[in-house]
Amino acid sequence: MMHIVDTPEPTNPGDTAGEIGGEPGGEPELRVVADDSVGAVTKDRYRTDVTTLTERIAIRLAGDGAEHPVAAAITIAVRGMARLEPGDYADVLGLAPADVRALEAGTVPLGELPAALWRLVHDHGLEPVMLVDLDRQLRGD
Amino acid sequence: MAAMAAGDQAALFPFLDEFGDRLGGMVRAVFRSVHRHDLASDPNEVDYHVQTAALVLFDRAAGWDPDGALPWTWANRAIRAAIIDRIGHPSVELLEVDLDLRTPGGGAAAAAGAVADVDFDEMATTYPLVVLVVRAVRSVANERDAAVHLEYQAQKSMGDRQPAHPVGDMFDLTPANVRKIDQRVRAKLSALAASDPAFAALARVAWVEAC
Repeated sequence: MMHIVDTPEPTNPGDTAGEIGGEPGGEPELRVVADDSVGAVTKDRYRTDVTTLTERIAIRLAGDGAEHPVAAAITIAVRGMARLEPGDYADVLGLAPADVRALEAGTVPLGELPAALWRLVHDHGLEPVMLVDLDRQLRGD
Repeated sequence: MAAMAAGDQAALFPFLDEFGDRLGGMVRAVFRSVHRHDLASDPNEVDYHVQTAALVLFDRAAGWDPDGALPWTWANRAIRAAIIDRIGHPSVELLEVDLDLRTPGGGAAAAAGAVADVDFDEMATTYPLVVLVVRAVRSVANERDAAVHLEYQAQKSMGDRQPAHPVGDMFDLTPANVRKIDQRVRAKLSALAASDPAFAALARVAWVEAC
């Protein structure tokens, strides 16, 4: 059953955001950078409210019928922020590529996301409380 | 754009990293074009609609031609429509004072026990054209006819398809009488606008122009 959820309002996100990088051909490494403000334009990148964007992706996935859209959106968002190819992303998470595909397809509940992914959620400035709350709303709790 | 065209929503994040500032400029321009300077100066609002723009581009990415215009130029209309859909169409903020109910003793309508939703005297304190309209109406009609005319036009402007009925009830007139009074007042206003330069601006009032 699809539940109606309000589109997230513009919000002021947390104070940190992260970035994952890696040497070509080497192991991807975690690199955390500070985030100053929403919508800020720095000399090399724009900083968007990644939690709101993740929520919006989750709502779209829910509309497409994903069973666990928030879990899927988080997995997709972290890969996007990390700028990783799916294979490298699977390596970072210590998962098989098929498992990552399952996560992104929304077949895994939020509570069963791997710990390595939750660490990246924090590192990238995603706000877990808001995302968990959206998950509850979408499930009609 | 290629990744987005392939349906990879993860691509939205690096896309916004790279081009969010460009989209931000476009979003602010849309806000300003509808006189929402308050939104244009709010970073959170701008960012939210930067995301909206990116999502519009995501949905349309498969149709974008890399040899053509920049994506946000190519999808300008769609992005603008999405933003306007969210923030609403251009409007003037509705002031509570504009809808303040007329207090008893405030003219013929009040004397007749009627309650007007629109107080032209109150609006006249804010809008110069209303001052002119009220002055003109009261110069060409007696107190009751002026009140009938203004109430009739107010009802009509609010979308009432049969404004003569409630106005007739207010002033204890038949609907036909209300329409006749309104017609006479409009004709006099039209003549006044044509003959007196001080009231020439009345020609900008739709119901006078229609005479």
